[in-house]
Amino acid sequence: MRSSKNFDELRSLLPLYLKGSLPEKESKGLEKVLSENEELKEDLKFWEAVKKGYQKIESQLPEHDYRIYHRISNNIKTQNSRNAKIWKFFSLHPKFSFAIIIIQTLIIISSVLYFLSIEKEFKTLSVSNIQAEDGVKINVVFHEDAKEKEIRKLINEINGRIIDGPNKKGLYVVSIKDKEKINYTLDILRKNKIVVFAELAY
Amino acid sequence: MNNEEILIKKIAKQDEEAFRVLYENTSNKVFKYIYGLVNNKETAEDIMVETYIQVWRSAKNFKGMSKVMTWIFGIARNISMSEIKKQNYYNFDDNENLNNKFTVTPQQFQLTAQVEIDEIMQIALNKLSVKHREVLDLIFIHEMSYEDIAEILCIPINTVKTRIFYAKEKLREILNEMGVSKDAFF
Repeated sequence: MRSSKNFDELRSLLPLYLKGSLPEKESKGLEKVLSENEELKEDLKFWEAVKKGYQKIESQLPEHDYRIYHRISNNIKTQNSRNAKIWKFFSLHPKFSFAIIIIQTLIIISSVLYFLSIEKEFKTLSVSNIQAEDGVKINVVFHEDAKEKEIRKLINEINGRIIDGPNKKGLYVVSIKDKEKINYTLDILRKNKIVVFAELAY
Repeated sequence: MNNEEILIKKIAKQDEEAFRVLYENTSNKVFKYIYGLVNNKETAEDIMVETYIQVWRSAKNFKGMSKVMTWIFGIARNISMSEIKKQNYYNFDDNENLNNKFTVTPQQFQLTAQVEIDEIMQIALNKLSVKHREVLDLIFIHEMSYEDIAEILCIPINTVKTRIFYAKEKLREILNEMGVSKDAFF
């Protein structure tokens, strides 16, 4: 028994068969099935009618205006002559070419310098957008139950200030001015019950 | 490399004579294809001008991956579709507006048994949507293979076959609405 997939495949070949564009082998296979299958025969008759309809349509199709080529040709010539004029101008006036090259180079150099000047301030990698300044930075994580009042008190005690944070993990960056007191400060922080973590930031 | 490919290579080097020969060899088919899409002579001619200007400009980009004719048809189709959308000719998928252009009542066909099949079918084909009509145009007027059609329409070959199937179903529906019985062709 022929599968419906194969049958649909044969059906889809009918228009090509009618137009004679089907390879001989496939044509013969199709003809064999056609001689046995009424449904396929019906389809073929329908496509024959479509073909006749197209013959009628084709016989009535208008011819295009013979002047169209001139329109196309003129358009192309205009474009070509415009391009040729530009090339001719620059080849006759090499100074302009050099001037354009110099201007382009200057624009590129000034753009590069401008972007370099934006990036010249040093930024730390450990936290976002903190500019380096005098002093030492300490990464601190407070206990989740720590109150703001307690945090402020502790920061005042070490004579520091919060310069960034908290990030998603609750990390603060605290800056202290006196570099020599760093170990003492870290000691105070670590001993305090509201501090979970305190380490020097690099 | 076939003759058309040689011409395209020459056109890529701005050879106007090669361009003229290519135009003479292909313009009739290209015009018929565009006309089938837009159904208006003046618009089809304008699109044809644009198509060949594009061929001239893009010849250097032709890589020979498809047939030259298929490539030109693809350009023509893109420009035609933009024009159809711009002018809002008719819905690409719908044949509602076209139905209004060809007003044939069922009674006309019931009464005129002598009406030729080709005339009936011509009217029915003109009522098809662009989407269905263009696939049939490419087969019956331009004698394209399914591979070429798939390339022009930028769709897989199986979609080409499906469109042919639905075009046939739609045609039967239209003929039925026109009062043409299924047996009329047998």
